[in-house]
Amino acid sequence: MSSLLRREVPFAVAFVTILVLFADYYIKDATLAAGAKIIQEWAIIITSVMVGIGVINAVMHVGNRVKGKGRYWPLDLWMIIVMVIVVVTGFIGGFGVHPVFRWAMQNVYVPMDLATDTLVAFDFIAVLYRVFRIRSREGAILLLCAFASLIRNSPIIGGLWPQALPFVSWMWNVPTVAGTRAFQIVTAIGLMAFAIRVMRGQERGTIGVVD
Amino acid sequence: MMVAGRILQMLLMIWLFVLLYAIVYLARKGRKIEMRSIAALDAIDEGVARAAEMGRTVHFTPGFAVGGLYHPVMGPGVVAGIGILKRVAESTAKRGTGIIVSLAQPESVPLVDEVLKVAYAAQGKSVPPDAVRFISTEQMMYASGVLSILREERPGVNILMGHFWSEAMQFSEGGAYIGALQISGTNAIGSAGTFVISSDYALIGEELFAAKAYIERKPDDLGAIQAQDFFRLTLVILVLFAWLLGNLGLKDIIGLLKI
Repeated sequence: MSSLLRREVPFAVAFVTILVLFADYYIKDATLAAGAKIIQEWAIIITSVMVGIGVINAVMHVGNRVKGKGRYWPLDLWMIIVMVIVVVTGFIGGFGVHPVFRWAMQNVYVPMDLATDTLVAFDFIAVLYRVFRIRSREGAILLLCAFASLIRNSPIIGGLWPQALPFVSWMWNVPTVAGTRAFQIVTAIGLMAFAIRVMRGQERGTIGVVD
Repeated sequence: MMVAGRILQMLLMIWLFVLLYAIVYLARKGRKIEMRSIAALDAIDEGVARAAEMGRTVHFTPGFAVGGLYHPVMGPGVVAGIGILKRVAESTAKRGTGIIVSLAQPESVPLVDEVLKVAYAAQGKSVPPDAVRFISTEQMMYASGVLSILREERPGVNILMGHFWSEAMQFSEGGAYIGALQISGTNAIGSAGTFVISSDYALIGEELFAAKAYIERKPDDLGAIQAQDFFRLTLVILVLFAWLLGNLGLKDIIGLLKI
């Protein structure tokens, strides 16, 4: 692929797209609105195509491991087989109505999903024990905040110890909100600058180019 | 015609553009831009060296984005994380340490492949087999997959840079459980606190987006970071101004901020 197609064209497209969307947000103009609408429709189409490309990437990646007899390759092979069954049956006779697809979803996918969530929930409990130990000054503050949150959200604790509620509410509404807003503002600035860097062609990773 | 209520926002956005272009221009002309030291990024080499001494691998994951890399907030977080992977891969390639990159977005697989290929090719080496592991687009499947990798492979350093939700807690504590050095960073507010508590080194908020500039030290990137700092200063001045006017009872002037 030529450098022009691989590097310059995507950045030109990104530049025009971001500029039109920015302008449409601030300026009320029928032409701009129509342009922004077309871009947004294209974005939906491209995103759908990219989901498909993502699936192809995953299959190629896993397929290479099967071909090279990598570690756990039988599981990789099983993943491809199951994926093909689900995709094919998912499209037969309409979207997601085939009995095999429905059986796979209801009797395989959902129970396995729930089982994974449940297993991970045990991890959470172990993790919470570790995280909320006072290992440092920050750990102590986190524990205090967690305790305050517990008091605020548990009626029984609030009932037994009502004196704590005004302080806990203040903690929730003042320092927490202030800290959260500060974090949101600086992250938003970082994101805005990131968007501008994409426009300027500084963030090449967004189009898969590694310098 | 301008949209009511967004005029000041637009002026601020234009101000950010002006700052960015002006400072990048000055940086290209030779203006020296200093960045404060970021311990979490300095620790990457230390972590990889530690893993090499222990004969263990390095684990890296850029996190999870709902709906993939196209999510407006989570996607850039993951992409910024992959930017940091470049530095990690260069370090592992130089030291001959194994690397495992676990992913939740299939569309990021080619990008990560390319990052590793470039970093290893620069050292005249090839990427270790099974380095890139796509796990699942489902959050908890991805979480359990990464936990399995941590427990089975027992990496010497666990680098978590990108966008993380509740899995942040599991990953960082999973790493602590196996005694790995933890280096983390996220743009997700809910997970930043967890990382600060449970990691040896942590990046917070926009530091994740500044990481590429810190690592590469290119004038364009450094200029962009300084522009962000000046913009932040502008916002701080505006907030103080509004606070002062509010206390003086000049609410009509504050109304100008809402134009």
